[in-house]
Amino acid sequence: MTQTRLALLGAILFSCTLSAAEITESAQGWALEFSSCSRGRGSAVIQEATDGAVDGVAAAYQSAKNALSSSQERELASLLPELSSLLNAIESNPGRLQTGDSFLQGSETCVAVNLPLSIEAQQGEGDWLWDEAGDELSVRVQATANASDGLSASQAAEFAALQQAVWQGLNLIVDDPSPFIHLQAAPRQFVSEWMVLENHQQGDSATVVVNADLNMAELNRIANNDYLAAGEPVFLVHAEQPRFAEPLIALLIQQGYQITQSFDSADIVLRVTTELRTAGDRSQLALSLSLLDKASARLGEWQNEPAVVALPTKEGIETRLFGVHLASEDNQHSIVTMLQSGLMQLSQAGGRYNKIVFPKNTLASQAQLQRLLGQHHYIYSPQLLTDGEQTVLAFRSRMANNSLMDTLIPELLAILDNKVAVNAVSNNQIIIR
Amino acid sequence: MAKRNTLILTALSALVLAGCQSNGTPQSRMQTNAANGASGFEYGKPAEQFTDNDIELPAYYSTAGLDKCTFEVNNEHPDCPLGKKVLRLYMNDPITTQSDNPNDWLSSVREYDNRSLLNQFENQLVGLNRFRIVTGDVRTASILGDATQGMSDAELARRMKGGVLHPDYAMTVDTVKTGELVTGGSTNLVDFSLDFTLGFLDPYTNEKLSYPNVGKIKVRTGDVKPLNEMQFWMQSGKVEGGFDIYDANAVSAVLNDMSSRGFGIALSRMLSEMPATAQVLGIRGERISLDRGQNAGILPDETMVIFEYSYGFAEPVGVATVNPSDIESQGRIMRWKNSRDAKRIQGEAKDGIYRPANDAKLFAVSVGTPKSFLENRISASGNL
Repeated sequence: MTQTRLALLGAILFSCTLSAAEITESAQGWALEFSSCSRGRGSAVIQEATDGAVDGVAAAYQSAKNALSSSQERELASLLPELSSLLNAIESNPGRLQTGDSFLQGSETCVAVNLPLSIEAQQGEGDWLWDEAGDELSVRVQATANASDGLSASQAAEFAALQQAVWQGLNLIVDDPSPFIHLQAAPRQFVSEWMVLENHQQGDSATVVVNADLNMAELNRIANNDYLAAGEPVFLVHAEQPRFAEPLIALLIQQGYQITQSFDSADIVLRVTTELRTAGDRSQLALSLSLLDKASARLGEWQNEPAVVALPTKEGIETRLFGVHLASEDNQHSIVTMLQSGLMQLSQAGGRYNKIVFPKNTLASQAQLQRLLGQHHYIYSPQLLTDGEQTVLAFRSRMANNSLMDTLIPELLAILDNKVAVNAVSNNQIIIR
Repeated sequence: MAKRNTLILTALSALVLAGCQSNGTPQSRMQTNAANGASGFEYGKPAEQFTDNDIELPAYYSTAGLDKCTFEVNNEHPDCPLGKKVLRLYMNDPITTQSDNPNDWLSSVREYDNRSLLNQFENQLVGLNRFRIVTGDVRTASILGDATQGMSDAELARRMKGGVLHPDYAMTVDTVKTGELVTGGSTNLVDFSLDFTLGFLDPYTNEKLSYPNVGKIKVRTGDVKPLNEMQFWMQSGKVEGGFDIYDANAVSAVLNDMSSRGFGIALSRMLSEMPATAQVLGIRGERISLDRGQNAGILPDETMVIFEYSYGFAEPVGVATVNPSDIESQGRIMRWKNSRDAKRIQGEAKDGIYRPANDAKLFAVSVGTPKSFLENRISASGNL
């Protein structure tokens, strides 16, 4: 009698624990249903339970199989896969484990998990192929070139075709690809595969038609970098107390930005202002950063929340407070965000502030200059200023001055008095004498 | 004969009256005794003492679910019932009633300032888990100063990540102190009383808020001390024996006890005013599982009325004693209400787990401060 009762009790307990995992049939076939739980509440815990679902498969499958009646077992004998092949199938396609709504169960938060048991039906599916397709772009370009620099005419034409292909890809990603003109110098890093479809030789020149597969992911990575898009401006950190400049310089270098110590070669000035506020025995530090460009355009502001950290007043507390505010991850994140949006703003305004200086009387016709600037669409908001005996052409551009030397400068020299030549080139100034 | 008839009638009406009383207003809260005209502690009736009629919904219940909660302390959704208001406590300069007595024995009462007890009140209030408290405790700065030495900037920044807590409300405590002198032939008696009111105001607009409203609290000497200990004997303007009304320390000691009791009563009323609510996840037999615990302010031994919320109607189905963990609670239904809904749920819970449907959710709402919590956590002595 007691034994029967124990057995009964066991059966009840057994069925209770098993209700958590079962094998069910739906229109899509047989599936394993169970719940994956994790202690706690909130989205982080739901994620934990979802991530942990795969670990629960083995136990759930085992107990769900044990719960089958003998007739069900006979019916399903041929349909149920081995545990190992089920796990392999999940490994090759984690999307098979479908998680549904979350629900609370005591101190745990659970997600409902559904795992189809028919392995073949799902094979070969999966949406990752689409993603890869999005990373590649096939373009067909035609280019003509003469033999030069040790390259045969057809080699040069092929190179020019790849350059064009990269340019086309860039045009799809950004409105103005001019800051990325230097990427054309080595186009092959963005082309995963190419094929020459046609090749015509005519005298010294060759014309080729090339089909090129562009690596759009790599192009995207570079084109969507605010720093590169703004024309790689050079930063100067200005703080009244030099010790406050150092940590910010370190932060900028960490971002991969160029730093200078001289005001002349700076494109952007990051100004640091601090104010120590002491109330009673506690001190707080108000810290503000402003981002200005060479033409005094305000690119960004950031202020800390002084009340977050209040420390006992003592000597050197200002440095300590500065260090703590800057070490805060949230602050670092918001400073970097401010820098990035400043760079984006700079890029939208047309790029770095740049100057070309030439002697006052060498420019014969302003109209000629205007026409020239109109042809170079990467020159933004040009202005002609007079500075003593010099004429200054101030403008914004995202293109590096080295590239300007190859593009704008030869044409500018052509309309200037032919006695002048480029005297000096810096990152934000070209002097012609 | 006629006389007998009247007697029977009286007896009958008495019976009817008595019947009415036990069957009349539902009682889910009780009050402790207090000295003449003073306030008592308010507490929830233990679930086992509930009659069928007592199982009714207390005021200020809530039917908010946790669906919108982010469970992040500093970033809780405004509609999440777990979001707590940040409170800063202020105590106004206590007022002493004026006396014309040239002897001015009230000077010792006037000297007493209960603001020094504010930190204590903060500590007790935060234990209720209804608010987050920004402390006005000045010790914090010096404690922190020692602790942060030798900590790296990054470590300190990480620990201070929670940021600064700005109060949503200021809670102000106003106190009026009164002293009454009862002069007899040779024996005199002093009887102090403290009157408290608690106000909640928006510190940015100075708007006083109507909720929570704990009303007026009065504490008399008799609540904290037998009155015979307040007797004294005087001769030619000098206290010869008994309680020295001119001794500021002796007066402070009594007034401190009274303030402390006043705060306790305020807390007990606040818990009636702001009951803890939780959603019932399931019932198995008499056992219930709730989705919230300490995080929603549920206290140990909490008496909670369980109600079904369906189509805009709240139908009480039973009363339970509940114990919380940090994020959930478990309880036992001590009495089911004698109603069809309660029987249906009880029947389903008997054979397995009753899980409330989406259109008929079950909630639990606390009826008042648990008595054991008042005795062991709010009052120092265990006596109320």
